[in-house]
Amino acid sequence: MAREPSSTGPLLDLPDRWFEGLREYVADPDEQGLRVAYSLGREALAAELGPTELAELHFAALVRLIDELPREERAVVDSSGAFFREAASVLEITHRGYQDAQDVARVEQEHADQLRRLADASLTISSSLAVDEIASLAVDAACSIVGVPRANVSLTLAAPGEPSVAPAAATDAQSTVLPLGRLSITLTRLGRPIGYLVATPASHEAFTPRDEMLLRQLAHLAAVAITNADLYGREARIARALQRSLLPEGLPSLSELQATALFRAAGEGIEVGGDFYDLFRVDDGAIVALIGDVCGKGPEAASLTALARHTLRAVSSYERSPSGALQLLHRMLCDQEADDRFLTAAVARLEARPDGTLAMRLASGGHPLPLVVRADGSVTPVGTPGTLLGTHLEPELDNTETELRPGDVCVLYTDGVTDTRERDGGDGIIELTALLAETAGLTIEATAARIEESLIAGSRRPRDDVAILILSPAGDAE
Amino acid sequence: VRHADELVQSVWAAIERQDAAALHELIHPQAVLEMAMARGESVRGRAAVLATLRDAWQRVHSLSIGGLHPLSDEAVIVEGRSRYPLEGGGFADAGLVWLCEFRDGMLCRQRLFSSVEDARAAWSPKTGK
Repeated sequence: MAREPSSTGPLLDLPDRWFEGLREYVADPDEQGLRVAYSLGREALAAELGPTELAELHFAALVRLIDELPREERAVVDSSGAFFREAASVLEITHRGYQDAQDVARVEQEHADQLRRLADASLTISSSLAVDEIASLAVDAACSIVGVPRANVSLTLAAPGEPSVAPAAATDAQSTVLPLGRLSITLTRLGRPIGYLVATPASHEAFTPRDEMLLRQLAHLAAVAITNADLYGREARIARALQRSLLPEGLPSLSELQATALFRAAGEGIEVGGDFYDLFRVDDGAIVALIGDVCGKGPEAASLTALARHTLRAVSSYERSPSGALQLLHRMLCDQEADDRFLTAAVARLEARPDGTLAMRLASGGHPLPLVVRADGSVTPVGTPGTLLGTHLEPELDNTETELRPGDVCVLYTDGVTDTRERDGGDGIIELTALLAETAGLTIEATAARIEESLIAGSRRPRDDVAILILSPAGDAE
Repeated sequence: VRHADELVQSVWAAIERQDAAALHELIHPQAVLEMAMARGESVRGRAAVLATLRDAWQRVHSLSIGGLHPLSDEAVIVEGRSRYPLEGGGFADAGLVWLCEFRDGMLCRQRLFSSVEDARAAWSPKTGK
């Protein structure tokens, strides 16, 4: 829709000046006339006249001119056309400039969007530690950044357990144009190829140098992330294998004793720590249960954990006194001359009697005393606390004897079980005792599940390892 | 024709040696298995069962048979022990009782019980349920 021309200022006489300019030019078509036309066009532009208004202005002048001049209409119209084109060229030039500016702005915006998508991809890709996920994210990013319908990442990483070295063929990351305009970019690790990012353009389109640069950048960051994830995965697999080697074997099936265990290490993704337990039969037919807690965390604690467990297992085969076994462990720890390395442990030796009861001798070296849940629901600690093992002080260790009858349950645990509640403002031992009083009559698996649900899983992430070993005579309660 | 007590030993052995290919042949595509490593919940479908096992294999897992109590050609009660990962980390080591039912030579249904008596009481020879 054409706007009404402004009714103020120089515009009022623009039709007349346009007519005069046109008349002079038609009479003598020269450069001076065209300069007048150009000047009038600028005036029209400054007055924000649109092309339609300009055309109306021009043809109104043309009608007046045809009426006045005795020339052939065609020549007049040709000259007036030239006059008009010159005037309108201002608009054309301005319009082209505007279009160019718009194109530049659009390209800049597109550029900014691509860089933003590359930055987003960088964040998501570098925050992943899974090779498959990184490859998938890189594919999504390639499609999004350069707007292609298809892309894929293929990897030539070594399989788990194999040396992580790819063939030393190609060296630097490079891009290659494949048939159908597909672009293949090598993913490299230390100059060696570890895979390829291949992007397929939409039909009848080709990648621009800018697209290629962005895809190369994406391939580079994907290769770095894949390398890191691969190394992390290898380290995690090694750590898991080492951890498994430090864990006790699965609990044995024993005719006279039911047993269940629960273990949770404090560290993320860690399955062995400073706590340990074990249950095994010794040569004279007795059963030995042990539980302990090494001071500290990390690989040193884990290695001492394994050492303590294996030592107690070995000495228990000939040392029938639990306190004697702990004493031998203490000596061994002192001989190790480990810095500030000590532990707590409890050893229980169980012997079956013909009536189905189990005679239990127990000693504790500074370890939380086991709790015995009687069939009637009463809960009592068993033993005397004793002192830490592995310190420069001579330990005080005593044996305590008790009896487990069918239906009784003995719960050996580490302080991680009770500490989680104490950090939450409760009294861990009181809560554990109260909880166990409600478990009389339950299976030992159900008792373990109750402890886990109530004291461990319900608490914040344990800062200390948690180990529980629950024992009960195999026969039914009377 | 392999009976349930033979089949269950094959399944247990394949789990222990982490043999997914063998388990693919031994677990029914529409299996519904209560699994300790899924906190005793039912895991539905062979793919989901294998995914649960693979997760356990990555962490801590062991399985042993203490005793077999055949109920029919296609059903058997298994007494045994399992060490399995816990949700949120760590593991449990527990004595378990499984009631396993086979169809077409594949483990089709598995339920967990706390005793052989409970498992026996839950099995119906007429419906196999």
